[in-house]
Amino acid sequence: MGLTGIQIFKLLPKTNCTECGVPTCLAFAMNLAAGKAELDSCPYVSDEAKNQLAEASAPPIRPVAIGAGVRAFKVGGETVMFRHEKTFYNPPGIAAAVSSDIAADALDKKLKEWNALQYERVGLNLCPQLVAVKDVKGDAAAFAATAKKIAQESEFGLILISDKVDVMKAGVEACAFKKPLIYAATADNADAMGNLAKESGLPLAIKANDIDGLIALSDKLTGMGLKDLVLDSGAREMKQLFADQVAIRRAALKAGNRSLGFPTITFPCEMASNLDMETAIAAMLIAKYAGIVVLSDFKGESVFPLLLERLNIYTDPQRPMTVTQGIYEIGSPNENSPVLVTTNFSLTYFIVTGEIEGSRVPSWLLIMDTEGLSVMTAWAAGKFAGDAVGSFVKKSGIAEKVAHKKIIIPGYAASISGEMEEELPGWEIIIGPRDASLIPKFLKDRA
Amino acid sequence: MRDERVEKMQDEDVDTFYSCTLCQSFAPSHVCSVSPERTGLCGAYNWMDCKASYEINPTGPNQPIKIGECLDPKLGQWKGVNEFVEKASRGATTHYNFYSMVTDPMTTCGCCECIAAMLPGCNGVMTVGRDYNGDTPCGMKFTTLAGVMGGGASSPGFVGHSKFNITQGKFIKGDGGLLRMVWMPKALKEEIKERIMKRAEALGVPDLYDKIADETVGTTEEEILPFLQKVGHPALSMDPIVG
Repeated sequence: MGLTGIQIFKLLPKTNCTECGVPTCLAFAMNLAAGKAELDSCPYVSDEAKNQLAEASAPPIRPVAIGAGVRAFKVGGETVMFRHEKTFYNPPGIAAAVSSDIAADALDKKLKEWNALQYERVGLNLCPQLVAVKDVKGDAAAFAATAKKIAQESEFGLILISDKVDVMKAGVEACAFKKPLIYAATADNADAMGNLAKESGLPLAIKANDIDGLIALSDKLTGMGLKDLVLDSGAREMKQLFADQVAIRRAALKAGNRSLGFPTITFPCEMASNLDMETAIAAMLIAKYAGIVVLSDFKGESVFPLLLERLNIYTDPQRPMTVTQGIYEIGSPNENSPVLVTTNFSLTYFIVTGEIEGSRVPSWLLIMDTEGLSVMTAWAAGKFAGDAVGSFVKKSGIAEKVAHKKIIIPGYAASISGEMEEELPGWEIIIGPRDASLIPKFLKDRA
Repeated sequence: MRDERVEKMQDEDVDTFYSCTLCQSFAPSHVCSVSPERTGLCGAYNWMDCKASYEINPTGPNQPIKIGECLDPKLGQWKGVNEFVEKASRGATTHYNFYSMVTDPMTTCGCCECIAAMLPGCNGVMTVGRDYNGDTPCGMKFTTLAGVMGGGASSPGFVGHSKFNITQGKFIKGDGGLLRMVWMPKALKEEIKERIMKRAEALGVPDLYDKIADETVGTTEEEILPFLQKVGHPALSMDPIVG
């Protein structure tokens, strides 16, 4: 484990050809060292260097791509045990299960409802990505038909669940274009499932009764030439599953165990008798390393908290969340509506926007790029200084949209008003409230 | 200025450096060590500041480190510092060098004022400050660099440092010192122009300032190398930077 970027760099061609997607060999070497790139991206690396690097440069947990189209995603690729050590990269997939014998109209209804579960937050679209199709009676035709319908008529990716190879084969043929996950190879069918996954180039989940069983299966399939595996340790009880999740992550990251260097799949739907409990279990699993969680259903009240939890855990703690600089219309402002200015830290933006909306006074909100810093921090760092804010207001084009020259600044940045006046001759700089919660009263009193 | 008082000091003058663990709130295994000739990489704490901080708050983030036996005078490594760092990083880092960016450099929290990166093609190093948003010859912008090497890691080939440190006597001395510097953003170069000139004079290359490329020369190694050859940059004739 762990060559440094420089050690890797020495083995690279040093041509800075940029064909791997980054501008220099050194930058590529750093990505390799951090487990964020694969050596295969370099077309010119020598075989000798390849052998030396293969072990050290492969990501400790392999990133596995599942699905196609707008809801395609990647899991795995993680490099740390705890988010605060660096960041978590690839949010887990969230799936709901249907049986292969579901009636077409019932499936239509579900897909329609599930498709509607999309939420806009901090400029991102949050939604679950997967539907799992469970083979119930070994009926290959029904399995294929259900999989095909989901693949063609919805954006969802698929997990195909069956232990019968012929059934799985029918399912794979029906929806291979959607890049489904095959679930699962077990000790009994590993050869056949492995070959199916290899021929179709699809990711394959493996299921064992415990971690030792997983290692044996994983080694066997890797030996067959398979690369994209997803692990299920078989545990369906909270305590054991939690222990397995932690053990698998630790083994891959801390002990350099290649056999367990894959993302995991978990089944809260098989661990509880109602959706509430399933959701609670899924919440634990999203926080603790699951690559995919499979639920029995999606409801707004169950899936929304999970999506938010996932967002919170997988945002990069090294970078503040930001919104784009510009003029935001709140309500339907006209030329007489008030103009407010604040920073582009996303929390600042959402709180201020929420309060302005709450005031029911249509307004113009100017968001200035402060590199994601909140008002006081940006002010202290000199990124929300009077001349900078003034020049931003000038360039924003707000003057053409309103018939007045009044601008409201955050109360905590009151001290910049003098400099703003100098930068914006003729404008009246109004000091707003210190706390966003007082914005509604402030705007109403002025209206 | 506080910096002026420290400028007259040398690392050899003292037997105590100071630690800074303020950044452990977000980089839990990172430990800065501040010596007279290596101010904190954030640019906010020099040796005097740390000393004062310790005297005001003896249990605070700036603790005195008895440096003890010197293990490597060229790269800047001391037994006492290693022991302190290993303890304060809870085992994550066992040792580091004060004067090298190539060999086991000091760890970086992420709030460094500048990040120096090796440029193997030019046999030199570059440095870039927070204020410069453009591309750099190492192929990474400041933010990418900070992401790659922050978080308390020791990343050979890269080191976080303060602006002031660039012209201090021990700046990457183990790798050849300031004479290795082949590229800096224009604004940063101009900001510390006088100090670069002074330091370069002391190093015997009085026209070094004009030999350091900036973004007006180029932002890739290929673009700046002909310039360096034309002006006869001292780094080109030094020992290879990648051993």
